[in-house]
Amino acid sequence: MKHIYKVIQSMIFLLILGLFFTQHSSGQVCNDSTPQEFERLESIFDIYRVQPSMAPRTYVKVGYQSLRLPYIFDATNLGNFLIVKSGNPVSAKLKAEKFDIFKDNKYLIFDASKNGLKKTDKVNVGLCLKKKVGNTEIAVVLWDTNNPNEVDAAGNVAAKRLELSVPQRLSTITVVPDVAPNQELIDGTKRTTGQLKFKVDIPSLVKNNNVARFYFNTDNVISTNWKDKSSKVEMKLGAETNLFRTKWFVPINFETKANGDQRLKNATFIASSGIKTILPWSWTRKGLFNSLVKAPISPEFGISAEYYHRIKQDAASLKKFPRKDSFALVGQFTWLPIQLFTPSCEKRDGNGNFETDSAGNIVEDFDTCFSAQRISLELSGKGWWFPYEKTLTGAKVKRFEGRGEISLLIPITGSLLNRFPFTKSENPLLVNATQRIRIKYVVGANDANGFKRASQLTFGIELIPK
Amino acid sequence: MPNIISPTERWFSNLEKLQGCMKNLNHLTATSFKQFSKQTLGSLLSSDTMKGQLGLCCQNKGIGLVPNSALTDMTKNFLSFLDVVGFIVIETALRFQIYAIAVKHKPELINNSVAQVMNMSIDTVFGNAPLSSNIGKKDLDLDLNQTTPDDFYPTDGSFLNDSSRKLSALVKQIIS
Repeated sequence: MKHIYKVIQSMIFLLILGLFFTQHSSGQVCNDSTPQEFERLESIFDIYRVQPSMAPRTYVKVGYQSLRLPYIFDATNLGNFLIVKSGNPVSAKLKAEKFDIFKDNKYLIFDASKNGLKKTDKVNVGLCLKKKVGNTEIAVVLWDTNNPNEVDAAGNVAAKRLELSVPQRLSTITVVPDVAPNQELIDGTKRTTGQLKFKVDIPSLVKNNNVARFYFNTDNVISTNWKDKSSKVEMKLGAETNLFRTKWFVPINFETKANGDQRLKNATFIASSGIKTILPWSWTRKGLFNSLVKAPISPEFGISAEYYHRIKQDAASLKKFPRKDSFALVGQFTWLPIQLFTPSCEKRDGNGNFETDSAGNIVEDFDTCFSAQRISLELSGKGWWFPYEKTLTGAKVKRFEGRGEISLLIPITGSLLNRFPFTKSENPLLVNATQRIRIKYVVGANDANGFKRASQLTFGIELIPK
Repeated sequence: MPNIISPTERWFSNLEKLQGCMKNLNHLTATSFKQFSKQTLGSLLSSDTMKGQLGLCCQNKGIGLVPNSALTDMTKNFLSFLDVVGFIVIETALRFQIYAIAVKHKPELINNSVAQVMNMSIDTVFGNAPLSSNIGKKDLDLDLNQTTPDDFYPTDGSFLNDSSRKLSALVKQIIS
């Protein structure tokens, strides 16, 4: 009895082992003598930014869901996805590590360097399939190609494997020794200096996390002369993610930066944060997309904050920035283009009836109903809050500053250029360009001019080449 | 038994989802499927925020993740964008669909690859009898009508009238 029990136990163990191997072994039935076919699978070997973190990941995607009986593809088996160095046979298959799955879509995690591939190498991607022929199933290798219809001189199908480039590595390190002749020094003199430019960029510090993209980069210029004006040490550490996770795209970022010269005689710590977004827009169609006004896209909104703390300052810096801390909060929006008095987008025939396609959909002609040849409006606004009443560059300002801009664009018919001898042109790009008069009114503070307040009305002519 | 939809139907279902994503971003998104599929990325996506929102929408709706290269050439249209982002290539799905029907009516074609059959003319595969009296063509017409919107494949099956054309040309006609 004990003996029978042991035999049953061993059989169950072998059965489980068999099942395990069926599930996890490469199970690949394709080899170098397997018949080969070619179809467009739109394989992509690229960097993907996965939401909500936007952290970059390198995947190989293969369009494996296009197939239909009598072809059968088992997408659960990693071994059925083929990646080889360009031109190599199936037996030289490279190793994909595993799948990353998003809503049933399988992406291959494939490390090019672990597979001995260099930056300049190319790979071919294919699938190991089965084809049902009567009651039997035969193995087929289906390579991805750009043109499955390619034929040779005799009219036979002669498609070629698609070659995919290995994408750039995510992290980069650059070290460049350089000589800067006549480099300006802080004492006003000029000397030839040797410089070492050293950069590290790590766009994703925490691999495979989907909370946020954490990044680090440093950009340094170390000089043989400490007085070299261009010497710098800069380090940046930041994080970005989508604030509303999976509901709407509202990217938000936090960044801390420390910079200074190579001897840290001047050093600054900067903390900044920013957020921007657009609005879901389909609900506005009735009110904002009609014959009177056409605003096809949402305005874009953004808020950013920046805090400076000056850790170390030399005399020149102290003179310019007597306060150690400065802060600015900036909000802005832009809304363009908004077109006025436009015709309906629905196409009509000679009898005034709507034109429809074979499915009965009304045909729309957006080139006519929405173009640069219509009267347009552009709006933008910006506001600043400076609690210390000084800008980040040290200029004295009011606590709140604001600026608004509105532009009215009026199209001109006929070639205005050719009416004046000094603007006459035979260049078809200019002659056929859409011409518009821009009437622009700006009111408020100008950040490019030390926040000087003014209101200004300007007129200009714009050319938009066709 | 769950109703398994074909790759072609799934691709068009994804096109509808993509169109829905774009309609929420830009009123210039065409109502017609075919017209939308031909609109260029550049004509509807004017900012990085819009591109980010489209990426989120594609991921949420299960169409696929958007690779960096998908939004570099903005002169490409939404049909090719969907092929790049999704896991079904419409041209390939249609080729396999037509191949399946071709093999059903001419079983010896199973020994040929999809590419070889697509290189044949409609009458080589289905015969030159008109649609009204040709079982193979009727079967193909019915299958294409069931899986493909009317603006891509007309209900009257007129795409099958010219029997001398290659099947690969028929596929190109449907998606062009």
